[in-house]
Amino acid sequence: MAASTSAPELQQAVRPAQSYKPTGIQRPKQWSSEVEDAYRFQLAGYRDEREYAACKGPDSVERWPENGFVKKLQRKDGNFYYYNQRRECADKDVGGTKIYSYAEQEGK
Amino acid sequence: MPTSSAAMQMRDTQKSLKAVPFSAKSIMNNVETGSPPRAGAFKERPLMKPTAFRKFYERGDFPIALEHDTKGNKIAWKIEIEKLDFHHYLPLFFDGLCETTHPYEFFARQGVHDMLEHGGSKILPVIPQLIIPIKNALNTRNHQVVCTTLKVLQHLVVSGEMVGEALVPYYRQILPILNIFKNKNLNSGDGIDYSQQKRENVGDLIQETLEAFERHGGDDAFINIKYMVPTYESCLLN
Repeated sequence: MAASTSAPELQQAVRPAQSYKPTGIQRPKQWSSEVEDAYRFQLAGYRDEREYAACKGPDSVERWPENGFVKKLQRKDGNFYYYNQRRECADKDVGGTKIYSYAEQEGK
Repeated sequence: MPTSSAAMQMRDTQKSLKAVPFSAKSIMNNVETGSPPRAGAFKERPLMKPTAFRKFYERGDFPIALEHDTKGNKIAWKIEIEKLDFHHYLPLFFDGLCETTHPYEFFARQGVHDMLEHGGSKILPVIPQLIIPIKNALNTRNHQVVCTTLKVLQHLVVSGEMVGEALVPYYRQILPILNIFKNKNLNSGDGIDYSQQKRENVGDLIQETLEAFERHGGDDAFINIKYMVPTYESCLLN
């Protein structure tokens, strides 16, 4: 009986994945730390940190303490990608990176 | 007249005599021994047998996912690097630095890079086991292998605390090859040195590596480098 979950709890558990659907997309023109972050998540097969947190749980992203760049990510197949402390997103990769926006961001 | 021409002919045949150097015949007059052979100090010395890295890779013993896609500059680790046995894996990846063919060369280089970047304090105890693979890689005298190994050495000295100091006792094994190639700079006149951007100029890489050794090697570093590479000048003193 302890394992049974009530309907609202179940809804809450399912809801995040749906609410993480982006409503907009942008192609950056210049490199920034935000672009660097997005590049690292997309290399590992995720849209961005929201999707990663939805899959692996909140606070699961390991970051470099010096500059806050993503340090380690677990891909969807369970393998790990390790990232350098220095910038990895080269100028040629900036245009290929996608910055997703969400409904609540747009509402602001 | 016929007598003089016969004497000349005889002298000619004597001149054309060839002998093996240092043989009894070679001390005779009018015998040519030829020029000495080249010592081959700069000559490439290819691997005689496949590396242990190649054997382990083909057997699938490394905790890495073997992907051959176009993304291509990352290794997917099956196990977190922090949980790896560095005493086992780090010397094996260093052993692969001798490789020049894909995919061995890529996985060895990238594997070493990832382990050094994320190894922290686990690297220092393994230093003694890394010396022989480093020495073997440099001894191949292959341009590509030497460049990769020098970049790895530069990364190694900054990979953890006291790593630079721990390398000082091993300069005798590492530095002789650096001494040989220290002056191997491309003299392109006023042309453009394209290898400069790619960091493939061995002379420059050696200078950078020695400077990194001196900066991170503590007080004894300079005198030990100077002993092995007499033309090196300090970047910190003066």
